[in-house]
Amino acid sequence: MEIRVNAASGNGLGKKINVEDLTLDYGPLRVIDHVGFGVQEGEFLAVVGPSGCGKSTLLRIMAGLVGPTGGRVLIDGVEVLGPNPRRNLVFQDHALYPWRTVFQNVALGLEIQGQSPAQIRKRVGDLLAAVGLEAFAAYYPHQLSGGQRQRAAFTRVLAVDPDVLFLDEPFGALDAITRLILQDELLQLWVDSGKTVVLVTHDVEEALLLADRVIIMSPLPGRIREILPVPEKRPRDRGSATLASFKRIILGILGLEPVIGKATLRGRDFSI
Amino acid sequence: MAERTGPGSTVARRSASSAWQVRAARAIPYAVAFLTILGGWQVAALLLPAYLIPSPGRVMLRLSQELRREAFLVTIGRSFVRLSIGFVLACLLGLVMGLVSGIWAFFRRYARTLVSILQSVPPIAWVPLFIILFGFGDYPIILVIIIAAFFPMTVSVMNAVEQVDVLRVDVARLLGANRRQLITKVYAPEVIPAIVTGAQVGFGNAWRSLIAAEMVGGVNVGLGWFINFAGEVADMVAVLAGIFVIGSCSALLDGLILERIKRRLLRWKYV
Amino acid sequence: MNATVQRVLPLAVGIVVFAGVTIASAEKIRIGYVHVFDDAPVVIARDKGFFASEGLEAEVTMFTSGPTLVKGLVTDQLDAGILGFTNAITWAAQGADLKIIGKVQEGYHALIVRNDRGIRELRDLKGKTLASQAAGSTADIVLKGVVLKSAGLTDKDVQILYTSPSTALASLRAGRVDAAFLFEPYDSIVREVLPVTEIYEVGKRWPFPCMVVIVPGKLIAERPAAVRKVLASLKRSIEFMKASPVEASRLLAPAFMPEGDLLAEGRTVTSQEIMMKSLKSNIFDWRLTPADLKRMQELSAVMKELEILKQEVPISSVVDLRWQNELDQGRP
Repeated sequence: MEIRVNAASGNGLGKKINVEDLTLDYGPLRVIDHVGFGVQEGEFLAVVGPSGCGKSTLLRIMAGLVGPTGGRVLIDGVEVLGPNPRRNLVFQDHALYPWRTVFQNVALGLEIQGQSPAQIRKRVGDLLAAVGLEAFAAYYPHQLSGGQRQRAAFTRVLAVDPDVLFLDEPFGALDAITRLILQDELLQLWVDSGKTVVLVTHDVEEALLLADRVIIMSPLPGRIREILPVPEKRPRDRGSATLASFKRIILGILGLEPVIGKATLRGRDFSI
Repeated sequence: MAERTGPGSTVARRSASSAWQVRAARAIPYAVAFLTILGGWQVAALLLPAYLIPSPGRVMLRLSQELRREAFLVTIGRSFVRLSIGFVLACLLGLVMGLVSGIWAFFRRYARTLVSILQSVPPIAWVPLFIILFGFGDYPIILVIIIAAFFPMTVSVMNAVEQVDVLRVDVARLLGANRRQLITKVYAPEVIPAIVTGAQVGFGNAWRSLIAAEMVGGVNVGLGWFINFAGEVADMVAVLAGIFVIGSCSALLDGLILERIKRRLLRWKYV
Repeated sequence: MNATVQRVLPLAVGIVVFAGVTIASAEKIRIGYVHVFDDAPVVIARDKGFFASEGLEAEVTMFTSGPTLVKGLVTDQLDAGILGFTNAITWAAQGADLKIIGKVQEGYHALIVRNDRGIRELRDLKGKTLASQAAGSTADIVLKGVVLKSAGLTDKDVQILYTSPSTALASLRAGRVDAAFLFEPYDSIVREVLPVTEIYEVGKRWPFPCMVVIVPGKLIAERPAAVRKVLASLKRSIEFMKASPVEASRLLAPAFMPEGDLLAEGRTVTSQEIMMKSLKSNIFDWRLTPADLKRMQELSAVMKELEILKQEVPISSVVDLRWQNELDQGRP
């Protein structure tokens, strides 16, 4: 089966984010090995790979939580030297503060910025209403379901209006159905806001549903195996054959599927 | 779907009956414990001569008399003043030391070593030294209380800070928090449950060392002093009355004040 | 058996039996004393073997205060105690069966003041701090009920701090207190190391019996002979101390000045010197005189005034001078 794909942007010179020759060592262990790529403004990029390939670490470096051993990350042409609310990260663990109500959790970033209580009340109220959590504003995290908690975590990040969103397996801890619901909500959010999104996930289908491009990483040390464009128009059908083929390609690249044939993509052959 | 009629439904029915009954049921073990002690005491009083172990009745009578004497109330009051000052200072000191230890690795190692060396000395062993250094009166007692009560607090807070969920710190960093905000918005609230448990353990230490220090010397008022003096002049009735006051005060302070504070600070857990 | 063994064996058996009988005839007795110089005769009796010479196998235990010791007497853990006499009274008032059977020492307590505090006489103690001994002890009662009272002061006028004599001494040196109520050897020691003045000494103004021999009624009932032996041992000890003060000082130094010689102002004062001075200050005697009994009755009244006793205890009910009289009459 042959798949024709546009020659979309696949290598560096992305405008919004530039990852240049990034390396990270933990002592003698090389976790990330000379990784480089670019992200366009407004692009939805996914990074997939098995555990231990350093994709979460990559995200943390890009968000400024960790410094690399070598190389650098540029956002808007400026080197990333520390965390910044405008390039925020949502974790797999919602990490909501249990001693704060949902309202207070979402207000955290605004408090830190020193906004007035009146401003905070208005903004948080609007945000909670937008995600359907306004009824739970006075509840504590332990009283909410998993999906609601993750929504609250998202809202907390959105409150400070980042233009880049890093997502580290945000739905990994949720049940399958909730996951699907939140994927759709995320997609809608991205479409409405035009933010640049980098999503790290082990769920290949999720990546294919949401992303413009998928970076495939291999472990030990973490390297980019392939950068695959996904030129399908959105909204995408989860069950479509195209998506299924892409999935086979990706799994083939990762060496996880028994080979049943070949596919040619952008002039290159892949086993599928 | 078939209706479930097992233990679940019985529990549902039971919880519908009065909360009063639940509270009474919870109080029963305390009452029984109290009665056991009282019973043992009465038995001892029957077996031993009255000048060694007076009966609970006599002691209660004496207690009611003492509570009407100004001198006795002044003596108890002084003990409480010392306890309050010492305990509050101990909590503050423990809190500060614990927080700093959590943030600054060097200080953490330094504080840990300091604590483990000094902790081996029983607090009241310091009393004679403090009397010579700081004179007689309240200061040595308060110092002993601080030493006895601040260690549990420091260790508890130190551990809590070390075990702070790094993720929560990262969240705050990502939202732009500076160092001060990290302390006030992440570390401090993380540490509050540890403060409360540290305070409760520390309170027990503070109370015990207060009485012990007052008995060792250097003062002429206080509950510990009262008991000591009574023991010296063969007034066993007063000794037991004093012990009773100690026991009930401790239970009341912990149950009424500390437990209440804990519930208020940890409101979110009990919602 | 050969002939030599036949002759030696009965002799050997005889010696063993004789030794056994002698050892068996030594009476076991548990004696407690307060580890203060006032009880020096007990230390001498133990170390010079005077208890043994009276046929007593004495298990001597030292205590830090009289009130602690007397608790051993009322709980049948001690057979005899040498301590301040007020302890017998307080417990007898509660119903305990204790008897005072003889004396050991007369009270010596000096009120020492620092020269730089402007205290010239007792009245000047008002508003000052004074380090004293265990609250409720005989010394404490005498301080409040006799010494301070004689100057018209109560324990509310003077800040009395209760502590051990060594802490009292250190506090006086450090200037933490203005005055201290001390007995020997602390009294002699402090005079060497600090500019102080003695403004009052109880023994001179108001002599009273301090350390006495107290036994529980049980001992009197079951082993009256043992009571006599205890008093006799102490009598011999006191006589020895009077006759050979130098040797007594040598024996007492390690017990009451374990830190060794005193270094003061560049010169060394030997522990023996201090012991000699302490021996001179104190009056050791084993006989309770009628004057003594009168004093004890007066102190009983003082204790009632201080609210330590609910009512006065008649001294005759706690004193039993049978054995003292026996020994006095020279019966061996």
